[in-house]
Amino acid sequence: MKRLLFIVILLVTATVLAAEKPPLITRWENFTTANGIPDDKVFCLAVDGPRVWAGTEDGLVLIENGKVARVYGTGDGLVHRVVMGIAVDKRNGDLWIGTFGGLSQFSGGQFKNYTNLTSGLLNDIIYGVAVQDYWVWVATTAGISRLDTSTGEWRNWSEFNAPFHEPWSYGIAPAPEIGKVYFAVWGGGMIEYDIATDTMKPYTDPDEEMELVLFRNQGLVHIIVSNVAFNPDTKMTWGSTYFGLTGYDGRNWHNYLTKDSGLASDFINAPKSRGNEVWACTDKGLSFLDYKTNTWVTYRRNKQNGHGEIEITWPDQKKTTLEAPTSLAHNYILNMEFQGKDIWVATAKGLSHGIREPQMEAQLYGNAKLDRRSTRGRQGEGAKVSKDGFPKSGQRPAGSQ
Amino acid sequence: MRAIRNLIALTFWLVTAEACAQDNSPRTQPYASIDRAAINYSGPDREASRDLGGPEIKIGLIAPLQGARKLEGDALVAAAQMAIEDESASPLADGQHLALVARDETGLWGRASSEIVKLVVEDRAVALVTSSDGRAAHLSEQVGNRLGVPVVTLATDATTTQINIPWLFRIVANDAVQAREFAENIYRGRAFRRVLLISESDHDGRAGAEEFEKAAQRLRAPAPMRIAIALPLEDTVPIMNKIRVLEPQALVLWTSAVTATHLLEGISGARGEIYLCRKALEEPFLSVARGKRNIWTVAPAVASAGSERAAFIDRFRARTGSAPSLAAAEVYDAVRLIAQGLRQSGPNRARLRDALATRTEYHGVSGIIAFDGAGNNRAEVSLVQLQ
Repeated sequence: MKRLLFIVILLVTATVLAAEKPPLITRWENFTTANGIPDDKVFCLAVDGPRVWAGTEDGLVLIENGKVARVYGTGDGLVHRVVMGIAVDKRNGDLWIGTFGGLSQFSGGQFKNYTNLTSGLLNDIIYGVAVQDYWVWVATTAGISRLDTSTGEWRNWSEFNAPFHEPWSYGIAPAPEIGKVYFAVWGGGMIEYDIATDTMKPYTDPDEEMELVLFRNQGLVHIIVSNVAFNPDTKMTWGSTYFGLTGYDGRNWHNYLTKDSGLASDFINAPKSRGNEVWACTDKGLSFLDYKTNTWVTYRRNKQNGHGEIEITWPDQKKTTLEAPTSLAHNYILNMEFQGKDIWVATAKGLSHGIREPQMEAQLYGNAKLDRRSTRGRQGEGAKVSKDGFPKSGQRPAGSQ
Repeated sequence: MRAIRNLIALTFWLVTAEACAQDNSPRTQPYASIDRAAINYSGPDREASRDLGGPEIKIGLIAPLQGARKLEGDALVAAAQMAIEDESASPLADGQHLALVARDETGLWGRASSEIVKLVVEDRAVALVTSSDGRAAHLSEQVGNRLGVPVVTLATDATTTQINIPWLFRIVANDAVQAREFAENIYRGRAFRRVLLISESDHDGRAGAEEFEKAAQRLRAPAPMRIAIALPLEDTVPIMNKIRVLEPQALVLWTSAVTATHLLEGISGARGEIYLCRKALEEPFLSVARGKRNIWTVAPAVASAGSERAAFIDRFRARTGSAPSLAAAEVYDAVRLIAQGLRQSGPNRARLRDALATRTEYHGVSGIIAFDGAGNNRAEVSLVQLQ
């Protein structure tokens, strides 16, 4: 009887441990100036079904069917060459493009431009744009602007009429599921706009110290928020700062720093989140958190051989490193977007398309002979992989170079 | 009765013991703090293909070229141009030569940010130098952080280097350092108790005043009395009346030079020491303050090259007809520092950032410049009497 009980426990444990394995991006396809994008520095992305729009330091690019389909610049009517934010109006397919010289609307193959001098736009330096029903939200360096596309009316918020400690807005995340819109503000924390009451509420760093975090889950981790994302599934709002990742569930704050998580770096340019997934675009790689299991995966490019490095940080902080044949275009990540199970990643040295391949994933995990029980028991040795992430037998995954 | 006495004694002992236990307990360590030494740029663009081409390598200056601070801006442009000319004596590698391009920071609603973007995108400046305006420094840092451009600033706002951003370098003492020096002298050195803090309601005024209040708190001094001036300053009479009634032993001014000038004219004859933030050390304040012996400010340690400093002052006076402010000397140093960095890095923004970050010590006409990992000037400063 005892033996049977032992076997059942073992089987249950093995099943649970197997389920802990995070999904992996196993293949990367990269776009650089070598294959058609106008500039290697990619700041932002928008996915519209099969079409992917990317904003670069020198124009807007459309990717279709796995290749660059079209590049748009100021010669085509785009208001400025430096594109910092893109949003798709799902109702009509219009594209809203925030640049360092104003806002462009791309509709029916034509650009219509809005600047501080020609419209109610607060400022021409735009860091983010978002569409929510008939509202177009614009994060500018002087505050938040909102265009009502049904009336053409502009409305602005800044330190003069709203609780902005500073007006320097960097990002926007509509949260229609809870009737809010969130703003990331450099020096102003995270600001919550309540649609029903038409009021704004700031969340700031409670310790009021720039160079330290007093308590882990004290509240917003830092007053300079570089971007913001809302998860419609968990209803959580995630903020990125240059001092860690911060999540807000409407009641409590959940902060993550490299010191006790699998984050690649505390310097985070943008977060993204859906389901149990939380992604952090850092200056040293792309980090993924499975919020349910507290397992982290960080994707990096191995600078020596150009291969992809996949570092898994398990809930007990032990690490397993795998190696994939392809990698991100660069480790300095500026933003990302979801496209089905795939992801698109804006880096400072190219655009990357991350693809999940269940077979390859199984092969990577299989080659690594991943055994969480042995990992726990032998710290440092991890999952029986060598330093370059391959099994000690020398067998390499198919397709590796 | 005896029982009550014992109870009181026991209570007293327990309270005392508890207090002692609290005193002996270790201080709470913060969960995390920024490691200044670890701040670095891990992005790309150091390769030769990202070098700036063309015969001219431009250094961008964002300064007040209109309005109330125009005199200050003109002096900064003149000093920066002197530095460019001095560096032109020996051209850069590949025969490229340095040029200055200046743009205006004045204007409402963050208009300066458009000028900053023009400096980076249209003028293709290899680096930016900003005036003492904290907003302009922040806007430059935000753009520089996204586009990868080093920024050397004269702004004292401490927060620009407290955020883990590798692109900003401050060559002046920040607000926190100034506040500490003022507070030490006021509360410890002179044991003043009636301290009045006057600040403007703009970004720099708020930031500086907060630093002074923190500095006073650290010394366990009573909080200073405070007047926040709404801008634009229209009527100084109510402020003067308050100053007369309060009779402060120390008056701490965290304002622009224009506001400080109005205040100084209004309180002429009043007793008490005046502590002046770095930003106000400009014309017209310097002219009005001439001859007064009760004004204190924070200045950097003077570099050993005293003859160079004297020569700079003479040449600046010959060029402009007036003596250089400390800010003019600092902008001269900023441009020469960038130029020397370019000789090491070549015409590349990311490599120039690295060169500035690893620069050990620069002896300029304004003083010694030595950056820590976060871009703060860690050279010593001291409280000095304005003469």
